[in-house]
Amino acid sequence: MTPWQMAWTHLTRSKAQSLMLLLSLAMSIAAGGLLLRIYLLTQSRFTSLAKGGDAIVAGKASGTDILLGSLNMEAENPHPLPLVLFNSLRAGQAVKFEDGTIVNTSTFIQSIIPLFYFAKYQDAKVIGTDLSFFNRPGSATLELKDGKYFSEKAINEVVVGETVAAENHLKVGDRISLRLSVMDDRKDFLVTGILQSTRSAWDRGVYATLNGAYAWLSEKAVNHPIWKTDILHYYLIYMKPEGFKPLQSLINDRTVGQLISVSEEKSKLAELTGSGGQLGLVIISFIILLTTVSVAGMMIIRYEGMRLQSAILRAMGFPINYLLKWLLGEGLALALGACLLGGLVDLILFYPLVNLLGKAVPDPSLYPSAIWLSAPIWLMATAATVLGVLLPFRRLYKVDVHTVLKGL
Amino acid sequence: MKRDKIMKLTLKNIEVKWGDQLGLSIKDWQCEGGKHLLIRGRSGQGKTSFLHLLAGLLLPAKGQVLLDHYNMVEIAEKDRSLLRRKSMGLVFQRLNLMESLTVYENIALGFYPDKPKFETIQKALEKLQLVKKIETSAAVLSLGEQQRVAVGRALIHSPDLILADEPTSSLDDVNTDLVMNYLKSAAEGKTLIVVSHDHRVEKYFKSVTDFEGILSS
Repeated sequence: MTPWQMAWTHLTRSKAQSLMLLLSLAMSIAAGGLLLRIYLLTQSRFTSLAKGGDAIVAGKASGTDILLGSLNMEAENPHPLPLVLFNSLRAGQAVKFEDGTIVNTSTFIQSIIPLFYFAKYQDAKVIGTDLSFFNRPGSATLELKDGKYFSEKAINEVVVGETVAAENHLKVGDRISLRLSVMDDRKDFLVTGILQSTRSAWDRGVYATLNGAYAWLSEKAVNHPIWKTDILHYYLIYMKPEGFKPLQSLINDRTVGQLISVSEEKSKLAELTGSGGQLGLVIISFIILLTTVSVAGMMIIRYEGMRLQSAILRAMGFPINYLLKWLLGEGLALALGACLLGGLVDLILFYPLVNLLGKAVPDPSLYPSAIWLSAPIWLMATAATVLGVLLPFRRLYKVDVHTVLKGL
Repeated sequence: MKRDKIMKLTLKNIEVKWGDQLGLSIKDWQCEGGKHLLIRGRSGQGKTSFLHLLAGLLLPAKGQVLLDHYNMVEIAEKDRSLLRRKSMGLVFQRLNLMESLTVYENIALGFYPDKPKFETIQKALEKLQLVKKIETSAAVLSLGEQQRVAVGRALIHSPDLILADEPTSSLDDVNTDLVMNYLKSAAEGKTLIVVSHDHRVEKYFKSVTDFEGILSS
C-alpha cells in the first residue's frame, strides 16, 4: 500500500472525522474567498474610474454618487439638467438670472463635455454626447482603435468602447440594436468606430450623438415636463485656473445643478475604499490565520490518535518518509476537497451577498469578479493545511516506538 | 545496507535504563541462526524489552546488540528500519493491527515496498483459517482473530528472523495449535525467538530457556 493509498483509505474510513474537518476547512475557504472577491470588487470601482475633466456638474446628489455615476457609469436615473445651461456655459456667455444677477462664465471653463445616459446596448450604457467627448484638451484625447468618430449631425451612429466591442465581437460597419432606457423601444445604430482601450469605465460604454438621442426621444414623445427632450445628465468640465470656486458658487446656488471637484471626490472615495479595503484585508488575514490554527489543531488531535499506528509502521520498518507522505497526502486531499467545496459555496453565495450589500459594492457584472479571483485563498488554505500536517508529523516522528508498543 | 540472512544474534554487556534506574542487564547472550528458541518468563521481567532490543526498537544505554557483525546500536535509524522491514518479522504482544485497514490490507503491509502478492496472502489466510475475514476491518475482529492476523502479517514476507511476543496469549487451545504450527512451518530454516509465559507452547520447542537465566544477576 503506497502512502497515498494509505492516506485515502484512512480518510475515507474515518468518515465522520474527515467530513467535519472538510466542512470546517471549506467554510473558512468560502468565507475568505467571498471577502476577497468583494474586496477586489470594491477596489476595482476605484481603479476603473475614468478620466473626465476637473469638475462635474450634475443634478443634486452626493459627491460620490455624481463621481461614480458619471465617471464609472454607475448612474441609475440621475436627475436631468437643462441643455440650455450647458450651451450657455460652453459658449462662455453671460448667464442672466431672474434676480437680475449676470455672471460671465467665459473665464471659468476651458472645455465642457455633455453626457446623457439614454439607452442601453446589452448591459452597456449608451451615452449621448458630442465630439468634445473624444477630443479633449491636452493629451487626454480618446483615440480610435478602428473606424472613425460619429458625425455629430448623424442620428444613428455610435462609437463603441473597447470592452463592449470585444465582448460582443463588434466591428466597424456592424449594426447594433439599442434599447431606450425609459421605455421598451429598440432602434438599430451603425458602429462607425471602436475606441482604443482606456483601461477605465469608458471601455464599457457606447457613445451616440446627442442629435440621435433627442431625435429618438422626440419620436417616442418622451419629454421632460419643463425642458422637453433638451436634457443632459452630466457636464464634464476642464476648468481654467481659479475657475472652480466662482463656478461652484454659480451652479450650486443658482441652478438645479451641483458642481463637484473630481480630485476632491476621488480623495474622499479613496479614503473610504482604502479604510474599508484595509479592514477587509485584516479580516481576510484573520480568517486565513484562524483556518491555519484550527486546521493545525484538528490535525494534531487527529494524529494523536495515530501514535500507535505510526509506531506499528515504524516497528515494521516503514521509513519515516512513508509517514510524512501519508500525512501530507491526507492534508492535500483534505485541502483540495475543501477548496472544491469552499469554492462552490463561494460561487453560490457571491451574488446574493453582493445584492444584500446593495450600493456599498458596485455591480459585479461591470467588473472582474470571477470565481478564480478567490484562488489566492485556495492556495493559502492548501499551504496552511500542509503546514498543519507538519506539526503533528514532528510529534509522531519523535514518538518512542518501544514505549508506545508496550502501551506505557 | 543489503542483507540476505541473519546468522547469529549476540547481546554483549547490555544495560537498559528506565530513567536513572537500571532496567535490564544482560552480560552475554547468543543465539545461532536457524535456531527456534522459546524464552519463558513471568510477566514484567522485561521479555518485551528484550525482543525490542533485538529488533532495534529499544537502544541500550550501554553494550552491543549484534545481528551477525552489524551493531544495531551504532547503525543509522534508516538501516535499522531496513533490517526490520527486509529481514525481521515481529509479532507484538498487544497485537497492534492497523484498525482502519482490512485483514488483507494489514497482511499486505508486510510486503512493503513491494507489491502485495494476493495468492501468498490467500494461502496464509487459509492456513490461519481467516479466508472469510479477508475484507473485514481489523477493528471488528475478535482477539483471537487479531492475533492470527498479526502472526500472518509478521511472516508474509518470509523474514530470516522472527521475533514473537506472547503470540498465543489471546488464543484457545485449538487456535494455539493453529498459530504455533503456522509459526513453526513458516520459520523452517530461519531463526525464531518466542517469548511467552504460556506453557502450552513449550511442546513446540526443543530449546527452551528461562528469561531469568539470560539476565545478569
